[in-house]
Amino acid sequence: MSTEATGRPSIAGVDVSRVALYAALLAMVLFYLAPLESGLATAFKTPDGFRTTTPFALPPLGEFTVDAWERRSIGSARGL
Amino acid sequence: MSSPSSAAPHRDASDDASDEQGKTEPATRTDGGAVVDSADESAAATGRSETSWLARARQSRLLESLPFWGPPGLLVVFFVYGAIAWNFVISLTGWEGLGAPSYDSLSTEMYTRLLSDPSFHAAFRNTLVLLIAFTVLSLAVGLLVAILLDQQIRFENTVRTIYLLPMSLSFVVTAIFWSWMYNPRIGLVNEVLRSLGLGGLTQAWLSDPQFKLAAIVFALMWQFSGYCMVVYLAGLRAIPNAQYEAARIDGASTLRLYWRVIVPQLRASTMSAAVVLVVFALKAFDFLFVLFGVNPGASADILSVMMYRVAFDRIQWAYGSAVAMVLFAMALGVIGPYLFVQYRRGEL
Repeated sequence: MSTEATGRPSIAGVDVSRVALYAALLAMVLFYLAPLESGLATAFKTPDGFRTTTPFALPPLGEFTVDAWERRSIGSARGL
Repeated sequence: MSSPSSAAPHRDASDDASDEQGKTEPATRTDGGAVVDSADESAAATGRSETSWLARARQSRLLESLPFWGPPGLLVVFFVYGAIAWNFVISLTGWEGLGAPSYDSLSTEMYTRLLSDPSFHAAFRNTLVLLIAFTVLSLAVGLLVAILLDQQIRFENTVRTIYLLPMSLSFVVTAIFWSWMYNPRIGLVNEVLRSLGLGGLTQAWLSDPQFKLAAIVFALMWQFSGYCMVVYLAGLRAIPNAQYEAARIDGASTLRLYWRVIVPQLRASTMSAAVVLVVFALKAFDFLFVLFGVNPGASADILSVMMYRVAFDRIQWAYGSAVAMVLFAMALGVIGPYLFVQYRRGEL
């Protein structure tokens, strides 16, 4: 680890504090997106796919479906 | 460019002053004399003395604007404040069941009953804990994220949008998402703990009375800390760069710079964000209702859920109204002082 002219610690010319800053921001991005990803991934699963995977896992091959979206759009259109 | 908003207060203030003084009073000249216009002279000459209150009423901007604020004002008075007043009267009756309320004998019996009801004590305590913990945690995370974002980073707009995204969801959607997140077997929270080798910390977050309220606070913090971030970021951007530079020249470390110089200047941001958070916390009914139904248990019961349970599940309207009045008083206790302070500062 060396110190740049700015006085900030750096490794191979990379400012360590900036790396830590972006790591923290990325962690927060994951924190805010994780529940949304769970909801979105689940919305594309078949009932079997939902039962056999965790909510945040992407739908397995062959278990990907848009049935729930179709049902919802038909249900929403009723009465319009 | 001169903005209309900056000119408007000056114009309104002078107009109000002239309204208060009335047009009958002559303006004073800088040389000590009085300016008397021709209209006043002729009125005096003819001896016609129109009563000052009538003249003021005719020229009053308040009356002129009556058709605009009158009808909506009446609607608000009737449907908002009238409903609150009626709710208070109902809380003084003993109304239960499907019949009509009787207003013959009004008493504070329901409030006395509240004071001796253990479920009310639990709900009141939980509501206070929720208010304080949720508000403090959301403000702290929001401030931290705002400070991180204020470091001239790349993709700031994208990151900011992602942080603010949960705010756009309804409590119902958030509750469903977090019921999956907290699932003891397949939920992400326990999965992450297991993958970090902290399997001993995994819990049944939503069924263990010890962790229920904390789990709710954490989920609500997820939803609203983005809002605090936006408020704080606006506050941070309003602080002149010179103050950062002056503190740096004085040798202040980053931590000291924020703690001693920057954060104290964010008081107004903190106040406005805190008021909004408290109001949302008081309205967290949907969130708890989706997760637990009408019976969240003593460890997670809050006043709004108790009010619904008592009124619409047990059909005890008067008792439910009394709970609602306590909830209303709590909201007023937070918003009232805030509005008063804003009014005193002339920002209302």
